[in-house]
Amino acid sequence: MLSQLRIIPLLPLLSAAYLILVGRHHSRRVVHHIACMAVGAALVVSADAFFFALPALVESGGLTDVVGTWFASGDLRVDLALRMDALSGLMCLVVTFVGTLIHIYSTGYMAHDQDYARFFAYLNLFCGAMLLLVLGDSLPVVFIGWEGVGLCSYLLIGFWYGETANASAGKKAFITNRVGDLGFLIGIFLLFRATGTLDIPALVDTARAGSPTLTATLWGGQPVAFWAALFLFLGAAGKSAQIPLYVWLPDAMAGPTPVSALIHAATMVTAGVYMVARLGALYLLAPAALAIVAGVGALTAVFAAVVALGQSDFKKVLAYSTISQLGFMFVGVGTGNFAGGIFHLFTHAFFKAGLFLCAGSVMHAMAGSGDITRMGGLGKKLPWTSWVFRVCWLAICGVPLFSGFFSKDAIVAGAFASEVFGPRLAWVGPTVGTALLAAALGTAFYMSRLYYLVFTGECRADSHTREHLHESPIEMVAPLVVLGLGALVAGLVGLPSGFPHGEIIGHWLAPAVGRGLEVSSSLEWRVMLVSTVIAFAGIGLAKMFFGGGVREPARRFVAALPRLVAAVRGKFFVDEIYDWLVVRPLRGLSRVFFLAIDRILIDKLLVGGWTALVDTVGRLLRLVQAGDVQRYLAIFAIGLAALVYVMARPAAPSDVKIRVDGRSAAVELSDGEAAAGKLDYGFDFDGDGREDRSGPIANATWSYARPGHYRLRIRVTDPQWNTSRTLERTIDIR
Amino acid sequence: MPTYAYILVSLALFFVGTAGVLLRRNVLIVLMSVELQLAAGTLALLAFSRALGDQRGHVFAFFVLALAAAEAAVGLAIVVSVFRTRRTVSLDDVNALKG
Repeated sequence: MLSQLRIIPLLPLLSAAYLILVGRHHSRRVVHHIACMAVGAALVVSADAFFFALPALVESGGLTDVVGTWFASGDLRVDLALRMDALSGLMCLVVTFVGTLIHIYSTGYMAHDQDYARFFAYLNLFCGAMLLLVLGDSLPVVFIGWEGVGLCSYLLIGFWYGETANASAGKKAFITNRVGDLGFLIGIFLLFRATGTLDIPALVDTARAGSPTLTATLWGGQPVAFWAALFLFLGAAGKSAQIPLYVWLPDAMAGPTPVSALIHAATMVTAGVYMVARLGALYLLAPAALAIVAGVGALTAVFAAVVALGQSDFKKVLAYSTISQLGFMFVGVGTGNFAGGIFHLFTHAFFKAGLFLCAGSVMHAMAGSGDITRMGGLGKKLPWTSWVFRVCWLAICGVPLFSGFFSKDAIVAGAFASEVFGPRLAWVGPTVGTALLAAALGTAFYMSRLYYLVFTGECRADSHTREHLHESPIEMVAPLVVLGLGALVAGLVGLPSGFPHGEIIGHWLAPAVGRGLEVSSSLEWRVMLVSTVIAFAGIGLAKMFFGGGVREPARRFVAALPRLVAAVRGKFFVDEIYDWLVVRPLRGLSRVFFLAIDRILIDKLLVGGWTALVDTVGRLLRLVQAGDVQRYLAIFAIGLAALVYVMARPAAPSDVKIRVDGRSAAVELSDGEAAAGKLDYGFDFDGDGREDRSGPIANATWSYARPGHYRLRIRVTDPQWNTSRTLERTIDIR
Repeated sequence: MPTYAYILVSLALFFVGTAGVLLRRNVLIVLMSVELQLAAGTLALLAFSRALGDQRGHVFAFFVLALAAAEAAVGLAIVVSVFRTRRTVSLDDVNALKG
């Protein structure tokens, strides 16, 4: 049973199908029992496989389960195969664990929603698709999961589709992801063209062997591996919200908060990081592609951290925080430190899911509002939520001993120590490392700002809201506490190599993603020291600005640099720029096509033209249909006469062949079949009016006395009806 | 008399009949013209039959007579029926089935 990996994605998928079809006929209790049990069972099965079956097999590639051949065409054969190795097993656990907690949380958060069954169906569908993505053993299977989670993301962002803003946010996410998906597909095609296989283990083996199929130059002096890696990264950037395709994620917060926690923080958005780590061997063949991944990651980390400083919506801050943290992960995998990137993915899943669920709990208490300028002093009213938030906050800030501290340090130290870029790009590692330290300062500052504005000082909400402030029910608080504990201790699996029990996760992942980086312990200690200072500096600065509400230094800062503050609050107007660069031209072009092709060509000419033709012909023909018997008879008589004339004509020779050979010319007629052999022919070769040859034979020859231009006249007679016709040709004799 | 003389008479009869069918407006006259056409056909059959010495033409002539009788019966019945409903036997007024 343990090798039946297919059970893991199948459980949530079946539950989703059931809930979609008949869920609305069940009570809420039944619905959430089915949904939670399905994901919970998937968690149990994955944990069973991960802890008991996998360790023995981890060195030899892990557990596999081939469901069957999906399709085969020529040399291409794609199996519907699942594989749980060290990496996908870990991901599988994260997805099912966080997924289960968030399902339970949702039973409280969505308790009063109309579309209870639909919500849980989508949530289950998402879990199934995500597990397929994670466990898929070949790129097409991964792609199915990849598209599946994108679909669920779209469905859940627009879950409350009654409001246009939510529906457009869903569309924005879907369309932005399509851009990335195109890159992902092109990457798959390039890999298939180069290697002839789509199985991930085969691809990884090919890449590890440094096969010339992947190192051959393709375009612009770069190898196949570079372009494939680059296009795959475009897909990853779309899914994982990196520059330039990050714009959908902040808008995705329009969906219900558990969705933001599960899909847009803990699991789906990390798919890009997971994919890069999975195909790490391919990226290692192309240092330039790795440099791009790391560079984009660092840029995104800094950019999103800055934008997060200016947001006043609880979930928007967390959304930009997620984008920034995903940038950290991409720097991890982009510096060849795959274990580090995945480690941060792992800890981030806990603390970011925890933060989002805290946001949900706070908004639940605040009657749905997420405006942090109207909050404050919630620590006393929401004790459980605020304690969990504190743990997750310290974890994301990178305060020592919390989980985020270890994973962030693993990435930063790895960036400084990385040697994957080669001598020409050696500057990339330290550069992105420094950028990450700056981003870490921003992270500590904006998260602390969030904490102080929401949980300390006096409540700034109106009196009505203030009276209704309440802690969330147990089914919401319990997952929070579990995630808070996770955020506290998840870092212990990745202690630096100097510690006892250090590098557990690095050793564990080694068979799947290769050995971790060797980071010297002096570098390790220096980075830890610097990042600790940075974390406390960020927190201290934020306390100075926002401790207990917006303080004087913050006001003075805003007054001193109004334009910078406006730019940050406006998210650097990237949405507006995209609107001008992409949306408006596209809309204009669509309008041109609509007017020129749709309205005029198709509507007017193709559709309208045909109807006008039929209409005109109909108008003409109805004149014939006068109801007058005698007119019909006249037409009948005329038609009959025409028919008799046509039938009685001598069959026209379909072809007149003339061959000139010196002075002699040979003429041959081929008859229509009907009259073959019954006709009489006359040939006048010299155009003098007399027939030179005649009789029932369809060919004739003639010798000319002198060269010249002659007119050939052929008579064809049907003796039976005494009708005849004449054909004329010319003959040149030289 | 040569065969073509009979055929000429037959043709003449046929064209007179056709003209009557196409041009006259009174249904009774039209029916009579149809009889004329049938008679022209019968005459041509008989002429060819005699010229070719083949008795099948005669047989067909009898068939045509029988057919003409049946046609007259049906046609007149229709005329009576039309007259009962429309009080007219002019083809100009019997044109309900027009487009």
